[in-house]
Amino acid sequence: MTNEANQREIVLQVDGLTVSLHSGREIVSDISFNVHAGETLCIVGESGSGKSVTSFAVMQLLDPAALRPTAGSIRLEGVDLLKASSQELRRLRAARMSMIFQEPMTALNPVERIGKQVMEVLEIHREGDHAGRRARVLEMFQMVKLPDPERVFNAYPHELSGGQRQRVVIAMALILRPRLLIADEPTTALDVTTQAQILRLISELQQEMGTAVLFITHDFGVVHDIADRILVMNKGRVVEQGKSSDILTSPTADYTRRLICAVPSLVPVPSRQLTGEGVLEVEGMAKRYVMGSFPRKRHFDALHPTDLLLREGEILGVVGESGSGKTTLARCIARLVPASAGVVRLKGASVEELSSAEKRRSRKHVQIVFQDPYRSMNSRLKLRDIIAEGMVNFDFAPAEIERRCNELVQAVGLQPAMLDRYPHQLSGGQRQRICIARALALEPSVLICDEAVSALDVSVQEQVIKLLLDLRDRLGVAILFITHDLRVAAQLCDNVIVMRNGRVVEAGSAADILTHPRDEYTRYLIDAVPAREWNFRERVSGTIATTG
Amino acid sequence: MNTLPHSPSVESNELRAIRMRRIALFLHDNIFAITVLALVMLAGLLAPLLTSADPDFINPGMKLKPPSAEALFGTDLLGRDVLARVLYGTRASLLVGLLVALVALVVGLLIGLVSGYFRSLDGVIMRVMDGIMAIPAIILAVALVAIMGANFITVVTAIVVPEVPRVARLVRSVVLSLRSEPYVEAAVSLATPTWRILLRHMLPNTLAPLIVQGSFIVASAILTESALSFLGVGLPPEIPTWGNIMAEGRRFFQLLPGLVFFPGLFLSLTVLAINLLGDGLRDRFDPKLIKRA
Repeated sequence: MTNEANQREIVLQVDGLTVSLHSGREIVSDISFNVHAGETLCIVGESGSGKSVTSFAVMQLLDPAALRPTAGSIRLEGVDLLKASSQELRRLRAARMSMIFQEPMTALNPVERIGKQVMEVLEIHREGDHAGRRARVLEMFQMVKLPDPERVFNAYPHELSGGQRQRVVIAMALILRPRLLIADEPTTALDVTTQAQILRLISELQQEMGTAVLFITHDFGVVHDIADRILVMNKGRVVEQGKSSDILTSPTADYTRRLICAVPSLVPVPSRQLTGEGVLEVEGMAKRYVMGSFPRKRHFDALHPTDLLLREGEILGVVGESGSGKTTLARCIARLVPASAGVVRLKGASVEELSSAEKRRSRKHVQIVFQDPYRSMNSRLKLRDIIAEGMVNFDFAPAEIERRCNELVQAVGLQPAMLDRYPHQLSGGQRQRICIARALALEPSVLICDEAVSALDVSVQEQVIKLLLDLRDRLGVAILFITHDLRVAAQLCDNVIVMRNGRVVEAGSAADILTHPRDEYTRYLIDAVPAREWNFRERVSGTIATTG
Repeated sequence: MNTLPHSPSVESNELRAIRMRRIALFLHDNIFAITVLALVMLAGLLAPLLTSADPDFINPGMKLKPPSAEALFGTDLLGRDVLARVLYGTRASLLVGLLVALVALVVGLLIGLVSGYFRSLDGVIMRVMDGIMAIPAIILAVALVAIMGANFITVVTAIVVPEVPRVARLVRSVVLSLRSEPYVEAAVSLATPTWRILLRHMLPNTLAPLIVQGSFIVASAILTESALSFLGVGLPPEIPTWGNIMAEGRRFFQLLPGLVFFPGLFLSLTVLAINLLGDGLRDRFDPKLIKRA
């Protein structure tokens, strides 16, 4: 495949590209690569590696107040994009190169019908008359396998699912048959099952149209499934590039090897014997949302009556796709939304029977860590004040607070000197550690992690998983771990419950469920995990053993 | 697009440099508004230095003179120097404008915070706000002044009342969107008392839109105050304001257009400059409107 690709024409040629801040510091330094027709080049890297800056530089979408290309060239079929006027660029965008973004929710205008938005691309590039454009859009919708193209054409974005929206975005990007498609984490916001479909769609369309695809991702599973060639970036530099199979099995750079080894394996860790007492008991918890008023009153059951038991020192995974009710369950337990029904017992005592002041004080037993480490902290406060918030609420003495802050920061693997910093001075992983420190400050018996490692880079994810395991061992805290990532669940959880449409479809030990799923839906979920059969760590270490 | 501010690879001094560049860009984009406003403020503050004439000095011998070297803008029916009156009038207008904005922001902020956070009170409070918004501002002001008499406090109150609902709605909308932010939910699960959540986690985030809204309130308050004074229900007639200078001058408009023209010019330029500055602030603060060059 790659040999063949080498003989094909070069669509995108990036040569010695450097992008700098106005201060002169280089964010992307001297990177060169080619993308051939019909080939997929994956740029892999962690956040801050410069992979998105590179893709934005190609599309010439950099924020001129912050960044500018200072050296090198970007040639699209021979035309140097860095020297092109904005009019030329406008003609090239969509027609010769186009881009798919991560968030299908925000990539479409919410107040305009889908068909009109896609037709606009044709209109701007003066293609055909109204009827002709309409026909082409419908044909394109068929190509991206949207069900009932006529209905989608007249729908508004909110009427479509996330996967359907991403299909519309892909249709929009490919309707003028561009030579180059840049996909910046196009499946990161989607469920695994939808992700598998979208990846398949992209490679089918690529085969058909001979498009060159520049695919930006942090997910090695996706890379394994889609890449012909791989370019690994770190801190704005190219670490290595080469054929997909070569890099995945025998990377030459240590950095690449570390990244690949950090991808959690889907093979579950052996089960532990759980002897602890039950700390959290949930019985018949349900959440019903009621919408509208009397004549058109409707309701939606986000969570059907659900039971669960969490023991001391246990990590219970809750897995499922978006809309499965897993987050609703977590939020009801944390009392961030009131449950419609059900009983919560903390160490045997029912929360319902407490007075309202006691209810507020009992919140300290259940703490929650959220998915997005950037939005989980008030950016105006110092880390010390962020961690101390709970202790201030419970009237700890100032000296005690100071001592605990130092302890906690060290417990999550950071330096006490960092307490004087602000959140924006930290990386995503450091922020998530601070969130965990804040949650642990009140010595909770239950820690709820709602997709707490999903937004992190694999290497950071690995560290946070280790941290959680370590905290469980040392503090005996029970963890309710909500995730959509079965790989993470396999490495972390003792028991797992699988949810779908607000119901538990299967529950049991992680080892059982991931290796011998009984429910059809669970099997479907496991099948959709990218590079399912690929145990990254083993493949790579195997190579290390043979070469070293 | 803005991949940068979130990236840990950008040092804080570089962030500061980007911020400084954005401020410089802001000053450059709004140079007209800032210059005009600075001049108007200086005119008000330095009125005694800019003219030796006393705005209240009645000189029957000088009445209704056209502009001349000794009275640049001419004189009115009582022989008072119009330039001096316009300059001193700046003080009243700006003071009313700023005070109205300040009071409306504080009151609207409190109402908005409560209404946005306590869902049970929201319905009642917002319906009252809707009610106030349904009454035309000028008519409400005229009625209030008629009941309570024309003095500084009445006029400020009368202009504040119709502005409050707009501020309250704005703050409420910010609070509603912040309620579901993870950091606010984290505070809830840490058993943080409600007042502290409002004060610490919500209030600071409402400041940017409030500054923008505040600038528009200053402009509209200056206009409303002038309109009230023009109608004769504004500040007491012995205080010179742009509105009452125009009101007194309008009978002689055909003879001496300057009596209406000069205070009118100051009024329009000031309001224009404040509105432009408000637009500039909005472009600066509202990330949805940040344009690329």
